[in-house]
Amino acid sequence: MNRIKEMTKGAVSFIKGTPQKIKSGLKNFHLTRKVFSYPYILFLLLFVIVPTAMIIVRAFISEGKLSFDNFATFFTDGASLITLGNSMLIGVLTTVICLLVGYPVAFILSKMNSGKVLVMLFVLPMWVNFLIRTLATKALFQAASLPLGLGAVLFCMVYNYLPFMILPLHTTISGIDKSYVEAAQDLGADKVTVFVKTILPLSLPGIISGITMVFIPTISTFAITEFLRGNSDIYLFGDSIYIKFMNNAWGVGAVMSIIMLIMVLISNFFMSKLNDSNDGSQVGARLW
Amino acid sequence: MAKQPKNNNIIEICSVSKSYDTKPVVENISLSIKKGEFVTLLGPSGCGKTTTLRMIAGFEKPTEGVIKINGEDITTMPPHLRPVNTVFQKYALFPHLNVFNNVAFGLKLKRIPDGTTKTTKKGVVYENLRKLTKQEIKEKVDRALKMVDLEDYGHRNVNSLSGGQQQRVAIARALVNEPEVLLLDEPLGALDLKMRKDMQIELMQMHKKLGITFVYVTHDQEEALTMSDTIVVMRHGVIQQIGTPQKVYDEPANAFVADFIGESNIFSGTMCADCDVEFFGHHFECVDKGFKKNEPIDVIIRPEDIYVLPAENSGAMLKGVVDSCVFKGDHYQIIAIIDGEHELLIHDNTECKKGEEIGIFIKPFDLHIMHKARIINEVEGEMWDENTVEFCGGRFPCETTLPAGTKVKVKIDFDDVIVYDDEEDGIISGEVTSSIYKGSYYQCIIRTDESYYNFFVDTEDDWLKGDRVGLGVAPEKIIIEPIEEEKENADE
Repeated sequence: MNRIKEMTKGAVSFIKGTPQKIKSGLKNFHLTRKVFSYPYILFLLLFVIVPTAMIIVRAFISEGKLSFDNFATFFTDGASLITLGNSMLIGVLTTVICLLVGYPVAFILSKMNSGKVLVMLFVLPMWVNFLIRTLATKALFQAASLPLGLGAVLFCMVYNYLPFMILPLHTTISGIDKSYVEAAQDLGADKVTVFVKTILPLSLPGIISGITMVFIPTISTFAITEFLRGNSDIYLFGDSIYIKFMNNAWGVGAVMSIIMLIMVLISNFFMSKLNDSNDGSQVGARLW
Repeated sequence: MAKQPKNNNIIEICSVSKSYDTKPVVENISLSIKKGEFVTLLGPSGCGKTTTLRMIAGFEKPTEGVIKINGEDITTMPPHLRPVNTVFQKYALFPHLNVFNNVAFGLKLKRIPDGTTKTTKKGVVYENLRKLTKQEIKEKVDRALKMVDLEDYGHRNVNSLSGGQQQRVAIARALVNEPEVLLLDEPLGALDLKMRKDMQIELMQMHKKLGITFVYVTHDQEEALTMSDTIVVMRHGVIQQIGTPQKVYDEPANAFVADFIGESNIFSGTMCADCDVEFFGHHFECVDKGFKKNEPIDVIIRPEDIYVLPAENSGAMLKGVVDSCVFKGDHYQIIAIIDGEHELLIHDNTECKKGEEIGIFIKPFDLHIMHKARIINEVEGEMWDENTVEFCGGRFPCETTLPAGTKVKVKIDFDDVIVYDDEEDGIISGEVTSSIYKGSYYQCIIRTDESYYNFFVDTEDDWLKGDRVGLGVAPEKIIIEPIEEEKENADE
């Protein structure tokens, strides 16, 4: 961290430097737009690329030797696989509920003039700290003497991730040109057909971004289950990575992190693929 | 076809008005369109032509009035049930479908009688409906694509097509449903000039071949003159003239139509007697009769109807000095100054030199005499106090002693309205909606922000359409009459 600070200090003093200094520097160093990206590239290198590389290397080291033992341990451990399956299931459930709740909301909001203000209201909880929101949910469930467990976990997941579904959907749906709707009506489509045949397919990029924004964070969360698990034994993938690292099982933890990473890459790949097939039609979805 | 209307009209628009909030867009228009006719709604932007088309299509509901198709009242019928199809201004092709599926969109939703019938318990007989088969859809789509010369484009993504091709797909998509009326909303607006000319001819051929009714919206007068059977000229939501292209060009109903369609010289004059008109301080023979004696009128002369003669020729009616002469390919465009103040635009084959004196000859039947749309601005208002009158949302000082609260009629001469560059300087503000050159001055129409009254203003300056201006009037120039008196004298 200190090194970063020094580096940025250096960069700032360089930019703020006297004209003469810049002039002499210009001979071999040009102050182009590229220069301004250096601090970020450095940050990326130190805190994203290097740790990722370390995790990948760590996954292949077992008892000081290069081996696939960590992978074998993970894939033969029934409990870990069940956790993976469970968290996928909860992820899918959360995503489906978010989509079913979020789509109508986004659709109605995009029809309203004051929609933008209302969207802000829906997004507002995002600015409350995640832990506070989760603890508040727990307090609410306890106050209403509702049992903690799967229901509470799902509720909190949906509550936490719903804005991530509504926002891209709202952007996409309100970006759909009204003339498409009129053209469909003109060609004989009633209201339901207009929705099914034009609005729904045209909002596909928003649905995809929404799903990606909700599904991946859901399976990697661990705080929600930690607080709202109650007496049940719901462990998500995030939880088990956390536990593995806490128990100094670095190798297996690294393997699990890599699996997580691969899942993110796969979903991103599908998302960009689907977006390409819809090229030009939606600009809004690119925001996410 | 149970209800076959007696007359041949497919669309009837009866006293239709449309306003957004309080702003009128279309005011009390009535129009009948015959089966198979090519009708063009022509007018500058904001004249209500697109709104009229959208009301026929069903996207807008008229505030007042009735629209009938085939004699059936469809005023409140939703668009998907109407026997019309639209070609949209920006095509509105579905980006998630390829060309074939865009064209097939309407067909896939269509239900046709399958020949069998069903009788309900109450004894009502319904025809059973069925979807079109894939084969039928394919045949129809292929035929439609062939008609627009895009047979091999079915699998293409609509975004990969050029503007002209997208336009053709949009036309095929509308025509494949075999509508009784095809509505076209400035369909060629986005194309370049050459493409536009080609598409004009293709659309005309399609119209002839299909025999269905076309309602076409455009602001391009040349397009309207080329393609239409009937032109409907609109301004400020009001129909100015309905007629064949020849009629609209040769006998424009008023100065606006003359100015909008083709180039023209428009002058204010006076009708001294039948066949005797006076303008520029000269008397001319004309062929118009039936005007009141000394009625102020507009005289319209097409530039190609003015002949240039040598100055000393005995046939010359007027003498003018050439101000400019520009070669335009098939003619010279000459601007001559008459009596040092009136500009006259002439298209002639004679080349002139700047400063040269020329003689001018106009045939009597080329002088088109028109009633003035309005001789004076007349607006209803109310006295605010003894020396202030309120109208169009502004309070104007005036010279009258009528008590406050009296309803009055305010009259202001065209050249007594003062136009300010800065909205703040005027008492009320408004927007310039048109400006017509009348030889030595401009006649603008300024629509006020409040009450949307159109002020006619004669001014030295050429204001552009859309300019925001302030309006004021000198107190002594406001003519005020209480409304009660006006009513008593109404019979005169």
